[in-house]
Amino acid sequence: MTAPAEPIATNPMPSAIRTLWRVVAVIQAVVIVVAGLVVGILGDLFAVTLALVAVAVVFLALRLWVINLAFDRWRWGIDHRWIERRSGVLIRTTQVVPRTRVQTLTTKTGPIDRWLGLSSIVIHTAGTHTPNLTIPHLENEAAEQLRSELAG
Amino acid sequence: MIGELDWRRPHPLTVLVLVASFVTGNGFPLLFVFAFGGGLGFDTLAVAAGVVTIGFGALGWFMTGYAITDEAVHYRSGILNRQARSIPLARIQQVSVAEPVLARIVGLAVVQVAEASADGDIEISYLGKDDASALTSRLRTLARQHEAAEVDTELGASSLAPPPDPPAALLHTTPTNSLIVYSLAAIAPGLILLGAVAFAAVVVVALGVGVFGALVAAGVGVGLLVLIAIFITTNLVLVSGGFRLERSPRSLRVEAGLLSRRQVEVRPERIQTLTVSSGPIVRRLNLHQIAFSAATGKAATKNSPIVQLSPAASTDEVGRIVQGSVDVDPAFAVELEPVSVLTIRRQLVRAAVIYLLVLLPASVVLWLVHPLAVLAPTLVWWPVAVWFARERHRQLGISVDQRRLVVRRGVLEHHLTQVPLGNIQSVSTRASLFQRRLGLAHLIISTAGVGPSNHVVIPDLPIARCRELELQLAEAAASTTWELRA
Repeated sequence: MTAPAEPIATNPMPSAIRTLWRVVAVIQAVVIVVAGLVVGILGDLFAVTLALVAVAVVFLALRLWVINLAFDRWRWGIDHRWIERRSGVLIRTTQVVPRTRVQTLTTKTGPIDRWLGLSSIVIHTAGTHTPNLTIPHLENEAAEQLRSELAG
Repeated sequence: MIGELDWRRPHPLTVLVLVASFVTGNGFPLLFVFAFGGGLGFDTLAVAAGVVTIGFGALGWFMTGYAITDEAVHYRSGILNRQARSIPLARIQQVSVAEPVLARIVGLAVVQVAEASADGDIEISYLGKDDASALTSRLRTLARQHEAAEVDTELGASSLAPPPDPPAALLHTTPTNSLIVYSLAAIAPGLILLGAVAFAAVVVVALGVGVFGALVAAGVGVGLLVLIAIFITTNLVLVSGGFRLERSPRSLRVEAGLLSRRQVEVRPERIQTLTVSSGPIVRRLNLHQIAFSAATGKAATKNSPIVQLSPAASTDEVGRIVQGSVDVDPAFAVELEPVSVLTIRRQLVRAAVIYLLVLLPASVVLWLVHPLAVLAPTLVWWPVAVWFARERHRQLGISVDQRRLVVRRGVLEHHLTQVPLGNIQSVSTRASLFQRRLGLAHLIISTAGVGPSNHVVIPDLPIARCRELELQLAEAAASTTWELRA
């Protein structure tokens, strides 16, 4: 048996994840705008409102752009010996965990996850330093399949 | 079933320690109520606070129990939130004794039983010292017997009680004076640096306010530096004083502390990483620190000296200690492969970023103080940054053979870390934007250890070499199955 000379992280994330990230980005932008409106109306400082609206627009534009980059960078994969994950836009990370080292598996779903039919798998190894390899927001079916394959 | 166990209570003086630790923990407001409650007309409140504190102490003692059966150690505690924990004897990773200072005063100790999960410890608090050591050796023997019985069952052989262990051999003690020398030498570079910055500040004050003000500032600065040195050294002596390392055939026993004393037993095969470190002045004095990270519960690592094989040892002693503890050499003589010179460029890019963000604005501020001072940050920063980058590259080195990974790193403080390949849990790489532009990446190797030195970072490897090592190490990790009772 040989080590994965070719990257085994070839699976992209489900495209619904982009919807999830976009929804979160829009919510954050809306929070900034609402904060601006509150300050503007209560404090009679509409210059602040305008500034915060501008911040929200720039933030949203940047986030939407980065979301596409992050989506393109995200890859995960599993074969009979390895689990590999690649991610990151500015700081790029690769994680390789031998399957013999998997200690526990956790499945997590948030409210937006559930609405989009996604769930995250966290793979724990022993020890306390970055032992967790998280494969976030997989389609439920794929997550269940991965979970049962790793647990089996 | 648990209700039928032979539950025992801790030592009755536990009440005293619980009350005392509650008072010291919630200190000031409680003391205030005790001391001045009466005078301020809050007699009832003061009495009530006293009664409640003592009541909780007594109830805490009454509701705590431990029991040892042929199968497991059981522990239950808590007044309102009752907790019960059991650790099967065969799962016991480590049994240790601690004597926190308050308990030590009344002659009590804590017995800590650790299994491999991070939150799995049982702490039986508090027992008389004799009871604690008797319980500790009983648990160690029981754990050993269970382990031997399991191995026998696996081998299909008949179960025989293991022979009693011969007495442990003393491997190393650290005399208090070498701890003091070590501490002063270890903090000296930091103090010199602080002193240099303070001196520069004094010069600036002298230019702005006058000589008298500068002298006062200098006096205060020297006083502060001396206080810092005394504080750090006293702390180290209290925490690591009386350090002893003993080796029995199966385990290492580490003992340390002048006020709160702790004794930990760890199996050599559970040691995940081993690091020999020394600072710039400490090295000249031929002293080193040996730290390890072990795969046990958190009790073992709560207190830093316990994750050491020595807080201060000479080069020869390091060799003897490491060889005697884990049967490998300390890797001083291993030939290390140097890393790419590109690491120097990356370090200089970082220096430039700090220069632009911090030192250039600082220069502008200094210009307001004195026109000549504007050059000082630049003149100091760049020679230091260049020296630092070159030295960092010179020190960085790695070596991988069939058995272990050895990494040397550090500029002022040097660290030589070795990891047996079978201990690797996962491998990751990490590359920032600047690193990618230079074609470099960090390689991070995680082990099953708990505590600060449980992972190794090899910085700034060329991406191709990083990937190659990642595969080689992951391959080594995958080819051995990690077991809790290795």
